[in-house]
Formats: sequence, C-alpha cells, structure tokens
Amino acid sequence: MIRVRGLHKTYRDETRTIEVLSGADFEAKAGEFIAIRGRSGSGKTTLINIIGGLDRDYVGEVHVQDAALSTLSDANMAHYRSATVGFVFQSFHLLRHLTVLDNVSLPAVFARGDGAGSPEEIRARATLLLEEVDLADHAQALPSQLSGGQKQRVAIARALFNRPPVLVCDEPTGNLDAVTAEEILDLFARLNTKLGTTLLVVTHDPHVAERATRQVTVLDGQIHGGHVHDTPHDASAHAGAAAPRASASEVAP
Amino acid sequence: MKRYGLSSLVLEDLRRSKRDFAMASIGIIVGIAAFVFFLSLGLGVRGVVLGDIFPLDKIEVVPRSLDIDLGPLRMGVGKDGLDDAGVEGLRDIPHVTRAFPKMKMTAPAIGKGGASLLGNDLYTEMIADSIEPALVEGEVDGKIPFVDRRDPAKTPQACSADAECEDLDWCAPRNGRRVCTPMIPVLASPHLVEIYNGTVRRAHNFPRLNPDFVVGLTFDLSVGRSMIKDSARANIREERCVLAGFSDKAIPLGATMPISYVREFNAEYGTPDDAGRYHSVVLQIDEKDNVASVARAVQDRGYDVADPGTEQAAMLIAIFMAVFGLVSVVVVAIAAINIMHVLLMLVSERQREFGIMRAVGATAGQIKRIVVAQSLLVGVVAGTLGVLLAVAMASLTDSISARYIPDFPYKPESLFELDPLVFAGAIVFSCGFCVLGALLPASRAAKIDPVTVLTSH
Repeated sequence: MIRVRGLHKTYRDETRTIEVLSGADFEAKAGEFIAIRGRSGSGKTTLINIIGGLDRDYVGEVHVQDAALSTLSDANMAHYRSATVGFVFQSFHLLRHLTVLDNVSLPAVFARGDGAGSPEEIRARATLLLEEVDLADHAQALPSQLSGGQKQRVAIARALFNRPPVLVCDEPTGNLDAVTAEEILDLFARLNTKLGTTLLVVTHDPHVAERATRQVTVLDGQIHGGHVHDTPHDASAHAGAAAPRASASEVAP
Repeated sequence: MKRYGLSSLVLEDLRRSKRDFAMASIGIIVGIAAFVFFLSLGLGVRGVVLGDIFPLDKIEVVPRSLDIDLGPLRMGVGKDGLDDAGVEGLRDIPHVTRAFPKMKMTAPAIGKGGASLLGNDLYTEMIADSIEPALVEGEVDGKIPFVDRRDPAKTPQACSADAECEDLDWCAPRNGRRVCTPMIPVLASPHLVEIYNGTVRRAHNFPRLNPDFVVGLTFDLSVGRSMIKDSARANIREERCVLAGFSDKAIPLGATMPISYVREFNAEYGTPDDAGRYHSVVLQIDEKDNVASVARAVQDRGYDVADPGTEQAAMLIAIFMAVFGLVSVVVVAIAAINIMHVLLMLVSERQREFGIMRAVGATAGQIKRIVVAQSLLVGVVAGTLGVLLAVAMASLTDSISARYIPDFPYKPESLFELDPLVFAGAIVFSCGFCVLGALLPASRAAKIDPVTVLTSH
C-alpha cells in the first residue's frame, strides 16, 4: 500500500542545514491505523506531507498504491491528492467564506475529467458525509459558527469526499478538548473498521496513539517501527522517548 | 455555491472582494468609455466628412489644365472641357457605376429676388452650373422636384397672373404674351447658407437663415442680360427659379439647375460647342476601396481628379482618433496595472486558501485559471459598463448639440457612429488588458507551496 525507501529530507535556513529524515524507511498495509510519534521537529509532519504529495522536495522512493510519487506530473500529483489521499490538519484549514456543505464538496471543484458528478450528486454526497460526521444540521453554517471539534469533523468529511484509501492527519486532536478529541478518535476508528481506510496520524498524544493499530516513531532521521514486521515492542520502546505513558501492550492491535 | 466548478469559486472570490475590484474597475470603465466615446465620435465625424462633404465613393473628374502666369494675366492651356465621348470613356473605366456630367452656364444672366426675405430685392450676376437630376436622387426631399418639368407636347396655358397657374408654375412672358411656365428648380450649396449666416447677415443685420425654411424661395432670372454686357446673340429670356433644396453637389457659390436648362441656355446664347461641353464629370464608384485605381485610370486618360481636401480631412480625423485612442489605451493600461496590484494583494492575502485548494486536488493550472478568470470577469463587467457610459455620454452630447449648437452645413443628427463592432472590440480590449494584468498574480498563486502555507515549515 505505502512503501518508503531511503527517504532523505533536508531543510535549509540562512545559517544551517538540518536533515530531518536521513534514509528513512517506512511501509504500511491497507487498512492500518498508524500513529506517528516523535519529538517536535523530528520529521513526522514532513513524512506525511511527502506521503500525501504536498512536499515533493526530497530524495528517496515513495510508492503509494504502486504509484512512484516522484515521477508524477503536477496534474497527476493533484489527482493523487484528490483521489488517493485525504488530508486532515491540526488547524482544520477550512475556507472561511464557504458554508460547511461547500467546504466538504470543495474537492469536487477540482475533480479531473467528468468531475465528481452532477451538482445534485455532489450535494447528496457532501450531505451524506456530513451525516456521517453528525453535522447534517450545520450544512449551511459558516466555519466561524462551529466549535473546534465540529470544524475538524468538517475537515474530515472534506478529506473523505473522494473516498480516498489513505487519510493522513497532522495532529488532528491537537486543538481539541479531551471529550471532542475522543469523538474524533471514535470517528477515525469507525472509518478504519467500516471503510478500511488506511490512517496515518501524527500525534503527540499517547491516548491517540493507544487507539492506533500500530505506532511508529520518528527519531534521529529514522522511522522506528516503520516496517510491518517490526514488533510492537520495538516501536513502543522508541516511542517512549516522546511519550512515556504509551506502552507496547496498550497500543498493540 | 449552486454549481461545483471553478466559476463558482471565482464568483465567490469576487463577491468577497467586490469593493477592491470595484475601485480597480473605475479606471477600466473610464478608459473604455473614453475609448468608445472618441472612437465613435471619430467614426461619426468621418462618416459626415467622407460620406457627405467629401464623398469617398464619388470622384470629380476635371480636364487637365496648365496655368501660365503672364503678370496680371493668367492663361489656361489645355482642354477646356469634356464632351460626350469623353464622358463615355470615363464611364467605361472598371468599377465606375455611373457618370454624371456637370455643365457650367456660359450664358450671361442676372438674378433678382429676396424681397420676401430681406425686405429688398438683391441683384447679382448669376453664376450657375447644372447636373443630371439623378446625381442628387434621394438627397432633396422631393416637395419641389429637382427635374425639368417642361413638356414640349403640352400647349402653354395663357395667363395674366401667377395665381392662374399651377403650383410651381409662373405666368412668364413668352413671345409677346404670357403663358404658364414651370419654374426652374435649383439647388444651393450648404456652404452658401454658412457664408450668408456668418458674414452677409451680420454686415447688414439680416435675419438668420435656416436652410429648411428657405426651400421654396423664388427669384427671377434674366438670361442674356449682364451687368457688364448683355448678350448680342438672342433676346433676353425671363425665367423664374425656385429653390428645391441644398446639396453638396451644388456649385459652392451660385445655383445648380437640371442640365437640360443650361444646355439650352448655352446653345441659345453661346456657341454650339458650349451646349455639348462639360466642365467636370462626377464618377460614382462601386466601392471606396476602388477609388485609387479609378483615379489612376482617370489620370491615364489625360484628366485630373479634383482634390476637395478629402485626404487632408481624412488625415486630420485619423490623427484625432489616434491621439484620443492612445490616451484611452494609456488609461486602460494604468487601470490594468491597478488590477494587477489588487490581485497581487489578494493572492498574498489568500495564500492559505490556495494552499488548501492544492491540498484537496487543485492543479497549478486550475489555480492560475481562478485568478485569471477573476480578472477576466472584471474586464467583461467593467468593459460593458464603460461601453454603456460611452453610449450615455454620446447621447448626452447629441442632446446638447441638438439643443444648444445652431445648425450648420452637414450638421448630422448624431455626431457619433455607435457600432456594435466597436462595443465588442472595446470589451475584448478591456478583457485583454485585465488578463494581462492577471498573469503575474496568477503565476504567483500557482507557485504557492502548500507545505509552506499549511504547515509550520
């Protein structure tokens, strides 16, 4: 499903060069719910940005569903971001001037070829997704009228609009209170079990990591527990550096 | 969004920034309005100048002559006129559809009249020429037909006063008795009215003449009589003329009659040759584009084309249109730069939005299209408003012209030629500049890195 080999990523500023990923390997099977952990600046977000097709400035091989991302043209990469992967950000990133319904259906605007269907079909699909995230009553509301949890659920519905097999989430509960975060995690669990969506969730929160089927840790430019055959113990041992409360037994599937 | 396409996003963005775009559009509206206004004015004036004053689909052919200066005298060398064979030759030139000979009256004559208008009769040595009535067909309104109404087969009706005769006839002395005789319809040049209103009227404190009200004015003509020396060839012949209308085909100073009258007068009071010699021929040409080739053919046949100043007039109008056109283009270009600044500002403000769009599947091309389409829409709306403003300004100008500017020769009903093609061209022009102004902002928007604007890095 996802295979990353020898991934190098370097950031440069005026005074120094930082290599956040130095030959990192990672793989994920379809339907996995993987928590990606690590210290701030360790390269977690960088990893999912690369897998999600947002960041193309790297060295190494990244294959998702047999597509080598480095070989895709701008148009094909846009299609990949539209059809194969859905993004959920910590800051929600909704368009403030569009209603909830229009935000959810935004991917349809950029759909390739015949698009995502007729306006009625698009509206029906967006409404269905809003029902899934329990926000059907807020379809005509503006994002400014929603709570943080509701905004994140809208962002999740938008990410799912084109039924992507992979959902990448960057600190999806980072801006939410504990109760709301739990609701979002329940939603992720439902998506994972009901639809078989592969979830890559970057988090600092051990409780989020506990809900995952596998944890990986980004540390010193490497991804620990990045292989499917890695033992949960190995992964949690590394994760412990960032999140001492997480244990192998707690996060094991 | 009712529809799910780029257009829906474009409209939403315009709605959000309508104030910025409205301010930026003012320059486009003013520029396009100025462009359409001056172009339409130029076309309208050119239509009058080249259509009526110097008709471009007609040229006047005159015999080629060379003047030799002999101190106080100037002697003309060369042909003195054109005969029927010459006219036929000109008629055969390709692209010439019709040829209308013009003949000057060589018989001496004195005109007398004007008492009804000026209080006293004026006497003047009559200068006249003549044309084929077909040359002014449709030009005079027809209340007084510009035709020779005499019927040789009809027995003249004896009379003792004008009132006994039909309308447009008068009780003329003929061979010792008086008979009802058709008046001679004449045409005058609009220049004549302008000269009268501009100089003669002021000098003598006469009333101002409106061309429409002097049509039907009559004056007497004593053919064979002259203030210098009466003709010795025949008796004096009394005629009455009636003004049938005004035409640019009429002689600038004098009166123009149907050619049959002048041919008869010239034969009666001059030499037999005078009755068959024309001083010029007006050639009607099928298309304006063929004027140059016909003019060359005319010169090849040994004649000249009278230059009424068409070229200079056309040049002046072209310069007028070019100058104001250039000013309008500069205004629109500055406005387009303004649009560019607005778009650059909006692109900068909305980097996060473009990043989100990229994250959910927008290509760089689609982002570019959103920005360009916004500008294009501004171009369409501002261009259309500019055209409407120009039409309103033209209408207002025409209204002021009709109400406050006194009539003058060739004064048209409208100073403007409002051409839908000009309107369409102006809107395309507006769109073109707006799209040009959008290229840099669109390129910047397309290059926005979603990672940079959506994440902390």
